[in-house]
Amino acid sequence: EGWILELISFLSFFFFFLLACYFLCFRFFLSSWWTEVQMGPPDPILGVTEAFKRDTNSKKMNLGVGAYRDDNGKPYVLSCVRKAEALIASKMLDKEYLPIGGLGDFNKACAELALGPDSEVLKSKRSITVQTISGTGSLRIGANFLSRFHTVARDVYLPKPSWGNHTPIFRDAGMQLKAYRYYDPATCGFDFTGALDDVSKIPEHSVIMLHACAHNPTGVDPRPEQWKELSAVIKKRKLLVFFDMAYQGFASGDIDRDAWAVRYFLEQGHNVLLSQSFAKNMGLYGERVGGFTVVCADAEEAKRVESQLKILIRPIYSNPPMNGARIASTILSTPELRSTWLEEVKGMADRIIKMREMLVTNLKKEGSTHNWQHVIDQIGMFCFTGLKPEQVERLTKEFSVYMTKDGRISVAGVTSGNVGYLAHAIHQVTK
Amino acid sequence: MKTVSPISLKRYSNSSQISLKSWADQLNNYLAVAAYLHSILNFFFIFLSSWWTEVQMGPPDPILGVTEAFKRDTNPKKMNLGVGAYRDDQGKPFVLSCVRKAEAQIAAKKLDKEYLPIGGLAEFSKACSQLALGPDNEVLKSGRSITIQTISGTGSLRVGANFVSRFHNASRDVYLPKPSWGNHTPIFRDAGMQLKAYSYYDPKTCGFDFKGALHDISKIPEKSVIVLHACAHNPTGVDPRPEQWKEMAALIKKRNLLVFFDMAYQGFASGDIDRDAWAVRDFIEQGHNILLSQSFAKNMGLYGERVGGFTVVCKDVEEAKRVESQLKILIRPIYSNPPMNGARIASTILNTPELYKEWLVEVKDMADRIITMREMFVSNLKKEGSTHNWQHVTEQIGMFCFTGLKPEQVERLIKEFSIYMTKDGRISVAGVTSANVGYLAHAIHAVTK
Repeated sequence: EGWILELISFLSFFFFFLLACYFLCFRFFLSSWWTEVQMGPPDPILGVTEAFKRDTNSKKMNLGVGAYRDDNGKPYVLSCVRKAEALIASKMLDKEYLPIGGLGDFNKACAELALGPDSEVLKSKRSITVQTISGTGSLRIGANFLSRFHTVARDVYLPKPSWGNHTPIFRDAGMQLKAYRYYDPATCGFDFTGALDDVSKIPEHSVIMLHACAHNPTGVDPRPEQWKELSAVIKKRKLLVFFDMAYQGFASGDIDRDAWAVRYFLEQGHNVLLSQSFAKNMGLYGERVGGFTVVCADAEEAKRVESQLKILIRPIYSNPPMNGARIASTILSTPELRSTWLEEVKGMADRIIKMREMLVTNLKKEGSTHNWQHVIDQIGMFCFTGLKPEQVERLTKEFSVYMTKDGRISVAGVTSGNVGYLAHAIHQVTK
Repeated sequence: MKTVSPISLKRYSNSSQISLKSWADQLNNYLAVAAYLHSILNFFFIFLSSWWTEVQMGPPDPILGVTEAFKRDTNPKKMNLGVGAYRDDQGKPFVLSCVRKAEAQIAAKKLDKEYLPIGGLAEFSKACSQLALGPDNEVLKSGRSITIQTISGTGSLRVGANFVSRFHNASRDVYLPKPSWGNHTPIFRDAGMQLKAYSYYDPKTCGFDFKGALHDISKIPEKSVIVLHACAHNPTGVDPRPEQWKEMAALIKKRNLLVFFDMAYQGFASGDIDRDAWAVRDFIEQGHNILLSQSFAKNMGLYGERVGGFTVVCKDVEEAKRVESQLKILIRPIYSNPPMNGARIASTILNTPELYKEWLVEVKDMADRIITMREMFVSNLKKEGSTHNWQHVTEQIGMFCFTGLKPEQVERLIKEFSIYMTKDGRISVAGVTSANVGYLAHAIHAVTK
């Protein structure tokens, strides 16, 4: 009968149709390489800024931002930077690749800034400084270098707490993270006895990370006599010192004072690793300007280390970005620009210090009976308020004051215009 | 080591102990002295001790070594054909005029220098992916890809290598064409991948070993990563023809391989940005969800500004979001966020119609000059009386040319004529000018006749 044939042809077409769908879907399914990739957690600090942006409260304050703001709450490009840019533009330079280790003039000036122009280390040429992608890039190069060449130990000791990004930097480079006591929540200050105790127990040859000045996130720095004792214990334990100096000049307003610990350790014979950033002290944030230094036994060793740094860097990014390094180099080596810079960096540091003082004054005016001394004692961009997560929550929800959950505020986000509101809000959640 | 005080020493030395104990005490005394000496030596040892004694001097970079030797040479006729950077017909570095204009525009805006997001400048990333895929691409319309700004091509490849190492658990193997850019190997190796190769260059023809490539690719284990040079293969200059690309696409799909395109010369190869991106676009049309690295070092002359992009083509928007989140987690502990300057320049050019048009003209001029130099090179070789077949010089494309010269011939070129190139006989045609092409032809004829 005809209808059977029709049925068969219909069924066979239908069957082929299903087969075609199946193969399409199967191919589609096969063409996903990343099915197993999980959604990663958002960055804790950026999350703060995102929530801040969504808030419609006119009195809102973003105290999460780790970038300097002027007294009008605006980003600040230093005038010495603008001048340096104009100078560079007028030279009509080309855009040829920098060497793998970066701009030679920059590296020299960068090392001199940290170590001081009369440093014995620089005179004997027993260190190597390479230009890096700001502080993070510098730390990562250092971490990779340690991972490859510091085979006697895998452990890196960070202060407790430390900058959040230190952990993944060293971990992704293949090192193991450990900690030594640093911050004392009872005093909102330096846990000196705890630090000495922990450091004295660190296994020999481990790497110890020290924040050169303006500890991030606490703002708590050791005093010079405390640095001296730390240096002695660290030397006794034969630890490899890795300094992170992201705020030279920005902490006290004085570049030599902020570099004191680094220079002292070198005098004491520590052959340190050093990361420098010009993000904050020159406001060059997005230009990504930094340096990584290895202090060696002699010039010959420095050459060997340099060759290996280049071999390490080449398959990461080949050579570093030129623009920021040209700006920084111009500022550091042009006398008028350098003195302008020193003034401007002091200006930024002074404004931060003033905001700290105003915050405490206003808190007292509000009638707060808590001891807020630590706000003034702490140094640099950040302040560990001592606020608890629930209080931070209230500040965000009730007052639109945004900070990270650990109670860290960026003093840079405080202005004479909003310090009163901040004091009022903090008093409300702590009285 | 516990030290024994002089007082206790005296006490022991005065007592009338059994001889064994006094022997032990004397030993104790010696040990005490030794302990003092040890701590003093230790003090000096710290000064003498070094963390990096075992660090060996590494070999110099093969390409940079060429430039360094060139700089030392005093011969006025010297030529640097190692350099992988474009030179104008006077042999000088060339900053594009659209770049200068973009810079002036940017300077006038007095922008701040705040951190870019981890994934870079959004307007740049968008324009970058549009340039590669074409603005009407289905992938871009559906939002199923993620493009992030990277530190030029190398940074892009490394982020990709790290991503693959972390998330492509199905395979550790990355297949490179033979030969490939020298830096591909350490990039993938340092990221934790294993390097393998597929046939690509045929030294007999100085051309594409199509059969060999298909043969090798057909044997690559499923889900391995395969790196393809989108255009202007580095170092050979040998590119597959469109029909050959099509066969490779089909075979690669059959083998179920993860394609990673390296496109460092879009626009620079043929002078036409769409033509140079043809293979990338065709593969995507064929259903390959590719990885793609782009560089603006050559085609915009932005070398030292470090401008590039990395793209992952995903199944859908949701997957692209997951991949994006993981790329950010990967990048944050490498360099936090990318450099702004070059990305602003590239973005301004790509997004400003007059500058974009001007750029297309300038990139075509660069490509045309290279092509002209290839032609002049071959005609000069013929004029010199060379009987070899130099067809490959004009058939190869892009900045580089695999001359076919042997290491001994390269050696002679360096020593006798001060013409510098890498040992594999690769020359950068960008280093050839109308003024020196005659000398080059003469020298090459001299070492090959």
